[in-house]
Amino acid sequence: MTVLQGYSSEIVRDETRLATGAGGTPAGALVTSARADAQVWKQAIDQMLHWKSSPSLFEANDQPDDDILDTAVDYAVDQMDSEDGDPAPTSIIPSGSGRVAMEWNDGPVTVVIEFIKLGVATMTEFRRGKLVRRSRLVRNPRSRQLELRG
Amino acid sequence: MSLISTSETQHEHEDVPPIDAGERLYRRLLLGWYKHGKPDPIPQKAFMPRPWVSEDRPGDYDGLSVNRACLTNIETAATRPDNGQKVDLVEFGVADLHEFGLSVIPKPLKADKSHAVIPELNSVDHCKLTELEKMEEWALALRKRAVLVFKA
Repeated sequence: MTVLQGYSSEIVRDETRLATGAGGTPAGALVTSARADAQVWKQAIDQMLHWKSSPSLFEANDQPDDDILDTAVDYAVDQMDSEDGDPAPTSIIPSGSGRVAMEWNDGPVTVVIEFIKLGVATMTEFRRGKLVRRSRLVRNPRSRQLELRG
Repeated sequence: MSLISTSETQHEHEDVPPIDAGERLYRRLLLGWYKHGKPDPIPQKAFMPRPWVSEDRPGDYDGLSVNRACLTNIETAATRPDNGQKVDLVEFGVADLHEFGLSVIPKPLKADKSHAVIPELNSVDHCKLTELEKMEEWALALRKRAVLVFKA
């Protein structure tokens, strides 16, 4: 189960397929095939790798930390390679103090995953402008995938 | 047009006029990757302060930086002061801040008199969960009001 699926998000895209409710995923949650997005994910990954190799692109306070970029890239690669991975985000930006944030948008729903240190991210969901859920994502050392923690 | 009352006294910013409720503000966006080739929508984190990480990395402790449109121009506001590089620039209004209960105060710099900060969006409060949640919602609201006025 991808992090967006497990988070009850309703990020909707073209070329979607309905996910059957399982393990707490609410009925009606729509997910996409990562294959349609693989090329988009690759572009995003290439950009993040470029950031890592070109620190002069940013002011000192905004340059993403290598550990954090590695975690973000690992997550992106996992989604790109997985048949049912999360769709590519709308944007990926440095969010200051070494962090990186990915954002998804669909109508009233916005989800932001911010990578805050090696193997750790926070996930925040907004609906109609209100923060409705915040969770922590921690990389499972065995699977090396980011997993929801609370 | 009404004047904004600020927590700073007038004499501390004698060389810049007080902020007016009708003013427009600019904010530079960081270099990013955008699925649509441009910030559409503008990322929510673009309106969040740099977080406090340590004493050496205090983040935006005095507030979120913006530029007053009346004291600069788009070309200048879209130029990074450290290296002269052009970046994407968005615009929104002081009235938008007021609508959300936010303020803006002048913080002129030697090289940039248009500089101001939104004090409620600061890295110190970012460390407190209840304040952080408010900030997140404010940032989301502001990004919906902001308009891209310069694409690098």
